[in-house]
Order: sequence, then C-alpha cells, then structure tokens
Amino acid sequence: MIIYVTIKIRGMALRRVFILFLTFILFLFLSSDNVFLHAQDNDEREEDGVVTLQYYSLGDQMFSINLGLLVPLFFHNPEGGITKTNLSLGGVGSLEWDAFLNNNLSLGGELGGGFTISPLKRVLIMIPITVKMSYFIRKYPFEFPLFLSAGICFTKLDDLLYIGPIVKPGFSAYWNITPQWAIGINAAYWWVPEFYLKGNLKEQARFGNFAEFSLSGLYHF
Amino acid sequence: MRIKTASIFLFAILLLVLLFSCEENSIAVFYSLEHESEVEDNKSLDNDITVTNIERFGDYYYISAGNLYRRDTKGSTQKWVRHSEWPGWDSATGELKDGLCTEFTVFNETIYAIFYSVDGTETGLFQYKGNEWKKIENGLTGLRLDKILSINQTLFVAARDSGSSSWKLYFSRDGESFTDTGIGDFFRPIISGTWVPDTAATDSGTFYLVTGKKVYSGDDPENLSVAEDFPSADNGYGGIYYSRALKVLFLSTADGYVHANDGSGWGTSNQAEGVSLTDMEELNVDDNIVIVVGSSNGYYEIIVAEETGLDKDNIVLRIPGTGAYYSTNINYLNTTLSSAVILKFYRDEEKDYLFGCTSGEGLWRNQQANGYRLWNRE
Repeated sequence: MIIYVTIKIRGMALRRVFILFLTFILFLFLSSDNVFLHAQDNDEREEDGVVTLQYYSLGDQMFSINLGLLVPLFFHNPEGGITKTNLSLGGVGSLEWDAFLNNNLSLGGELGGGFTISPLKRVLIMIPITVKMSYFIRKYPFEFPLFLSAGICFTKLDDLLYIGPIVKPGFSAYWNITPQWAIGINAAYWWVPEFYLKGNLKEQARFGNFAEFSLSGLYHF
Repeated sequence: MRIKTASIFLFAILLLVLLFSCEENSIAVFYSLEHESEVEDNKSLDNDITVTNIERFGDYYYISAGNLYRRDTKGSTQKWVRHSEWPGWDSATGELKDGLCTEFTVFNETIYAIFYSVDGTETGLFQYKGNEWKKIENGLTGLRLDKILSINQTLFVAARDSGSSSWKLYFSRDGESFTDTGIGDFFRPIISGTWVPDTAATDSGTFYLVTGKKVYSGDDPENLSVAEDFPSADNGYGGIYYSRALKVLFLSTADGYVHANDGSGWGTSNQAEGVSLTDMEELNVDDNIVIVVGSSNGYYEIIVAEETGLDKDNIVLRIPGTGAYYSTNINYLNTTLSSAVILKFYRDEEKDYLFGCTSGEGLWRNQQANGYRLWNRE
C-alpha cells in the first residue's frame, strides 16, 4: 500500500549521496594540506624568535560527549518571510571526534541527534552527521574554539523523512581540568534547508533555523 | 590558500544542497510544522477507540464503539455518556447487560443496536425507546447479527445462521418483526445502502444495497435482485451513496476507484493508489459540493462546482488540505486522521458538522472555523 505521504528514497540517490559525502570529506582533507603548510610557516616564524606555546600538534585527538537543549527559532521562506516553527523546546546530544591538524586547527566528525515536539505531539527528530572544523583561541586553562560543521541531516516527522544538508556555525568555551579532561559549553546555530527543485513541493521550501546550547565533556588523547 | 580552502568547502556544501533537495515527499516537513495547530479534543471519548457509526437523534448524537454512547448536541464540549448510565438501564437484559455494541442505527425514532456477548457467542438486537430497553427477536431468533441499516423507512439486518459463513438479509418496516428478503450468501455482510427516488415528486424509488462484490437493487425489500450494469470491483465494493443535490449515484471500491452514474451511464475516477475506499458523504463548501470518500488511509474529496455539475468521466479524487482548501485546511495532514481507516461519515446538516468514524483513531468532527473547515477530536 502506498500511503499518500510516501517517502521515496531511491537506491541510486542514496549511493550518489554517500559518494558525494565521501568526496566532500576528501575535499576537506585535501584542503587541510594547505593548513599543514601554514603550520610550517608558523614554525618557521618561531625559529625567527617569536615564541608560541604549542599545546597540540598534528595527530593529537579528542573525544567529546555533548548534551543540551535545542531551541527552535524560526522557519525562513526563501520566497520571503519568517514564520514560527510551532515547536517546543527540545533536546540535543552528540558524539564528536576531532584530530588536531596543528596547534590551532582541528578537523573531526560529529554524530548528533535532536528532537522537539509539535502542538499535536508529533516528534521532529533531526540526526545530523557532520564534518567539523574548529579554530582554537586559548588562555590556559581555557580554550575557545570557533567552529563550522557541515554535513547531512536526516529530518523525520511521523512518516515524513527528508535527507538534506545542514550547516552549524558556533563556538565553545572549555575548561581544561587536567591535561586529559575538560568540560565546556557550546552554542551552535543549526541551519537546515529543506527545499525541492521539482514537483509540487517547490513552494513549500523552508530553511529551518535552530539554536543549540549544550554542555560538553572532553577527553584528549 | 585560505580562500581556496573556503571555496572548496562552500562548493561541496552547495553540491550537497542541490543533490539532497531532489528527495521526494508529499508534503514538506517544515511546511507541515509551520501550519500545524492544536486540535480541539472533547476528551470524554478515548482517542483510540473504533467507532462504527454515528447518528443524530433528537438532541443527542449517538455512537457505537464497543459501548453505545451519546452526548448532547449543544456545543462541542458535552460529555459522552455510555449506555449503562442512560435512564432505564434497569430494564436491560441478556447480551446488552454486559456485552459489546458493534452496530446501531436510528429507525422510527428509536435506537436499534446489535450487542454481542463478551465471549462472542451470542448476539441480540435491542431497542431503546422511551427510556426502556427491549430485545427484538421476532424473525431473528438464533441468528448471529452483523450489520444494521436504516434506509428509507426500512430497517435491514444482515445475519447468518450460527455456524454458517454466509449472510442473509432481513428487513422490517415496523422495527418489531423481521422478514427474510430472500437474498443472501454474501461474500461479506451488507456494508452500505442507499435509496434513490425515481423522481423528486414521488415516494417511489429504488433500494441499493452493497455486499462484498455484489450490488442488490429493487423497489421493495421483498423484491431485491442483483443489480446489472454496475462496474465490477476485483477486491469488492466499499460503499454506495446517492447525492440528492447532484442526482448522482456514487459507488466506491476497495480497488481505489469511485464510479458515478448520473442516469446516463457510469463514469470512473482516477485511482487512489494502494487504498480501499469506504463510505461517502457530501458537504457544501462555498459554491461547491464536496463528496468526501473515506479510505483505509485518511479520506479523499471530489470537488463539484454546483453550476457545472459532475463530469462523471473526469472524476478527480484529491487529497484534502493540499492546494485550495475545501473540506479541510492543511492541519488535517498533520493529524492522525490523515492516515486512519475511516469507516463512516455522517453529516449533521443543522450544525454543519461532518463526523468521521475511524478504526482505532476515535471520532472526529469537521466544522467551519475562521473561514475554512477543520477537524477536531471528539
């Protein structure tokens, strides 16, 4: 039986999605070569007498668990207008792994999940899988990473499913309790476009805008 | 180099956006949420019950949903009261006393209800009149009763002998004694029926009664026979409905089609794919007549402009709440009604309510509000 609200995720489309996603990650790693070169430039400047304390180096890693609140902000109609989401305050959580490319820059991945409730008690579930690049500003024992995550987001509401992009800019503040362990807070903006290039849903395109406020526990290794 | 890195990053994101936006849905997720609003809920009726019928009689709405319930027609917040709390419960006996109500109808200003014993072995037809319960057995003794319909001052009961898997059809004009119509051996019990007047000026007309795969017709309950020239349905029929406003007979099927006959022959709709169509009703919305067609997955609507009438060869079954609003606004698509099995529609013309009886999703009320129609829960 085909339900009037059907979701057709074609096998071909999924394959293309993941191929492109892998390509996207490859782009980031390729681009990180430039970062390595830039790091070497810094090292050279240190040799010229500029002393910079190196906390991290290429290969250092960290793992973090984040839990917090998801705040629905508004939907943006690309044809003009801002509308309310009708959604309640929700929850968010994620697991994150990052590797340092140099003292200030890390590249990693994040698997998260967020939910909010609609007036009819429907649960909107969003599962973003993103690549995350962070730039660290430090005043030891505190660190203030600025980051940009991008990837795909599985957005589900009842029988509706939309797989689309997500972009998450944000910043964090961490307190390094020990050389290995840190705790912190995060604020991120979720930009979740949902639009269609063809069919009768073109007019229903909306850009979802959410805010994430979460607490983190980090382990460096 | 940083500019180059950023460009690659943005290019990759753009590619992702273009790719994923090709995904298909019938309604956009965020658009659906944007238009979602709370549904009024009477709350005196469980939302997960199966309601097989609703009718208005006097100042009450009555429903069959395991129990018989009724509520005052005033407003929408009146409490539903089960039959054991109605006046006259002391006169209840037999299956009625602790049984389950599966069907009911209003005939001759009296409630007629079929009750099953809890173990399902005994059935009985009970009459509720003047605050008294009475079991009707004349002509129905020893039969298992499955369906009751009141059509044009005639009461029909589909019943079968104990142990038999085929049904017979009985009728009564006085509500006290029943007579075998002579038709039977149905694939399913009678599921729907209507009466079509010959002309507006006379009392004569034709009964149409739908079983699983046959339509019986006749001008008298004692003279029913298999109707000819009706469209066939591989998986059986769903319901039959006559629109007095359009003077068109509609027939729905479990194959997802609605057939319509305006007297010049049958026309057919597009197919509602993958669903079984069930009962039908009509509404007046602005200058249109809207035929609502229940299904195993929400309902469909047929829009007929009053001045042009029905083009029976181009009947369009459309999903309500999409595009222009007729029988409902978009919030219908956000409710569980849009995916429920709708067993029966009932229209209260005086209140301009349309009720939808569902299997396992309770009772819903459609009404005008803020310039358009919407659905609320009972």
